[in-house]
Amino acid sequence: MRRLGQLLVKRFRRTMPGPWRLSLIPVLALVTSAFLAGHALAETPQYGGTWMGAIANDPPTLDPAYSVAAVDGMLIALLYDGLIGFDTEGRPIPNLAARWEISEDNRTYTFYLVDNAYFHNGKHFTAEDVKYSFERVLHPDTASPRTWVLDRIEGAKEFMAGQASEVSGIRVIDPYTIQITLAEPFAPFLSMLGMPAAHIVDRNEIEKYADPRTDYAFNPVGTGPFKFVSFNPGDRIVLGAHEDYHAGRPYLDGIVYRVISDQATLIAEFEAGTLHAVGLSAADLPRFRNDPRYRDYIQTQNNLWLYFIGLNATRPPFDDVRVRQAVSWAVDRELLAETVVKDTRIPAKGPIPPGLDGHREDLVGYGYDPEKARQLLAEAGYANGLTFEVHMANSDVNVQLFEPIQQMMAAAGIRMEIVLRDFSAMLADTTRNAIDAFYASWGADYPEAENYLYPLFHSDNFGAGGNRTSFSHPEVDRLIELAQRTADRDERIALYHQIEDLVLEQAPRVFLFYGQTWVVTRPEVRGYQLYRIFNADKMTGIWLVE
Amino acid sequence: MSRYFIRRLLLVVPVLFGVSLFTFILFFIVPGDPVLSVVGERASPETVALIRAELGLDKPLPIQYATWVGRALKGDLGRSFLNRRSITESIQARFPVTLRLSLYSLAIAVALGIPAGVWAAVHKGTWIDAALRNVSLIGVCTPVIFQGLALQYIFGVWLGWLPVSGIGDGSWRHYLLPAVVLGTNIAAFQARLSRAVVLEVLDQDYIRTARAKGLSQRVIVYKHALRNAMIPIVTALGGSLGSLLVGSALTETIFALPGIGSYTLDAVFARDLPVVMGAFLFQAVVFVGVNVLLDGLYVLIDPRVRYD
Repeated sequence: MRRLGQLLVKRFRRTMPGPWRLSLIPVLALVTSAFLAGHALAETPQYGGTWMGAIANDPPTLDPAYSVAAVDGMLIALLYDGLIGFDTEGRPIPNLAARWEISEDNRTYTFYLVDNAYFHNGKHFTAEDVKYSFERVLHPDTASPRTWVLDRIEGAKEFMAGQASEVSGIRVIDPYTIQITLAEPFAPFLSMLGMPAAHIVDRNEIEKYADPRTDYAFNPVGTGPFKFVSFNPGDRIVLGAHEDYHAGRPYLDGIVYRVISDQATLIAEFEAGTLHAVGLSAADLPRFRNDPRYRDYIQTQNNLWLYFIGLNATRPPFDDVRVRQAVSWAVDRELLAETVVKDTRIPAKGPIPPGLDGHREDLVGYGYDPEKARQLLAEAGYANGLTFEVHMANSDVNVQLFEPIQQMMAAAGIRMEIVLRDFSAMLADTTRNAIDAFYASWGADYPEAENYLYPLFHSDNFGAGGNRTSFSHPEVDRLIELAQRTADRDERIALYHQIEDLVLEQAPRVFLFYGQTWVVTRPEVRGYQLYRIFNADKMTGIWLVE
Repeated sequence: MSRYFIRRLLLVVPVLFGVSLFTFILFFIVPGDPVLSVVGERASPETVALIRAELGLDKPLPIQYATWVGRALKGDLGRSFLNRRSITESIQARFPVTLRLSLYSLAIAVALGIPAGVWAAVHKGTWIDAALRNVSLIGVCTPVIFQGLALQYIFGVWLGWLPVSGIGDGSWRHYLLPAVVLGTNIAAFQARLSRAVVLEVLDQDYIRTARAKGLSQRVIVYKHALRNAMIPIVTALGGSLGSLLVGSALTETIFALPGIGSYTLDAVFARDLPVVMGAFLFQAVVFVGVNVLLDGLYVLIDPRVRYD
């Protein structure tokens, strides 16, 4: 998805319980809150109240077909539903599809849909809506940037090229059954159906506008637990409870998201009691942890952000694998995690973050070994030391992180110069293959290891596709493609491990950290949970104590 | 005099033209692709090409600029690349916020700054003068971010008297803290300027004459001295108003106010070319407009001022 310049872009991730989980959530919430509040009496969830939240910037759109940013993905999950949702860990759970079957050859998915879902305009949801929504994303006139979410469906390519009037792989069996056939097996497909682009829209609502891209964008109508009420750009977006939500009306009467981009202002608003929850930065965390008013209401969750230094494999000096390895050996991730980014980052061993199938707790990866780095540099012809520039977004946080790394590198005979940049300009430079090294991060679009390995390391994805280091390795390519086609979970995980080992050996990126989210909630909040993936929270389990 | 103003207004045209051309060139000198923020990662090259064409970014730069100028001359500032909203409508929605914030800030600046400066001048060399000078020095030096945060905590979090940020229902209470931040900074500057100007005037012969006539200190200062000190003070206030009206990006961001400043800043970060162009053009119009009006105001303040 989007790598982020830490200062400029603050993103929020949250989620969704499917129908069968809904009954569980109040129970969990209750147990948690009773525990947190320190009293043993069970609490009954209450209806009512308005959730006060904040988003860092205006959503550019609320139309699933055009959603590419985390902020609109998060809102789309509240306004619409997908066939699947995600639990807190990022595993697919039922949503508009109550259950599904996958054929023997792993190409055909049969979804059995709920029969009690309604759009906010009262229209009944059926399989035809799924077909329309998916074909709309793929249709050339829509010009959706997210065709790649659905273009592996059989017949999608012909439809996109205007050679077919329908996507042959999407078959409506009856109003509550839809069958989707892929051109070839693609294991992450189910997870991808949870992406914003695969959320279900109502044809009538789209077609009533001459220019939906402009006019539908802020008049969204979905089947989600909350319906759109109003949006005042730069100020707030207001949502109201969907009384007929298929998994039960949410406890909250409504949600107000204020647009606040300054972290210090967010914290002040929270302390003034005007926000129900706020994300904590590394700088805020110690104070809240030591404050008896707040310390019992802090939650944390590993998120799916991977932080790394990218090394351009096509340009000297990093076209030599030994030089790349040397740089990987020259960073003391453990020490940085204990000091600079205390508690908000976990040292990374490889590209697959914890929580995803394929992550290995026992992976060794690169430690801090300046001697080994020197030795590798000497072998590569840099006995007298190496000098390189690392580009990054211009922020204090980045400088605080990289000054110690500079020292660590120096001990290995590497002179690393920090170049502070405008983030989007830096990304443009990586696309043009114009810089040697850069610091960025990668967050999941859908919770699968494949969403890291394929975009970041496959040679099909140079530049904006995700592979900004122009790393190319035929065996890595082959194994990734094989893993995508492998439906058997264990076999696929074994392939992920093979790919990860190869990537570590080739070291096109210096894997630094995995991200961790910290949120503090007001004492009156019950049932709040943190989700690994940004668009998973449906806010249906949250309720407020009077 | 009307000839003078017609000439002034005609001169505005090349200024606006220059601002827009400069903005356009600057936008393309700085690397970064506006399409990227629209399509996100992993969009197919065909989609990127399609969007590029749709936004008109596939045309040569001079043609892009000429197209923009052609539309702007007809009063059409176009739509945002990012959210496709009409830029004219966005400016119409956001400028009243900036306008109100500016007027409140200016009122605070006038109410605090000018009396403080005059008072310090009259009591030159006393402890009052020293105290006011030091306070105003602190006012000039305090960063907006720090002052904003301090006010948010004191009045928003601890005392709970005023909202921490946001526009809320649009009442004056939401504007007070940011107006104090902006207003006190200007007031501090105004106080120092007023003091210097009033002191200079008090040294003039006609003041000595007035004193010799036995006029009271009050009449001398407020009737004779201050009136003659007004030109530089009004000039400075006008300059401040001009800067306020183009929007204070930092203050609007800290206080989460949907004004022109935060609108422009967000657009710059998002590489939203038409918004950047439209917002800068609008700001140039406002800034130049304020200055032309100010020239007119001099005539009212000082009968000696004549324009030919």
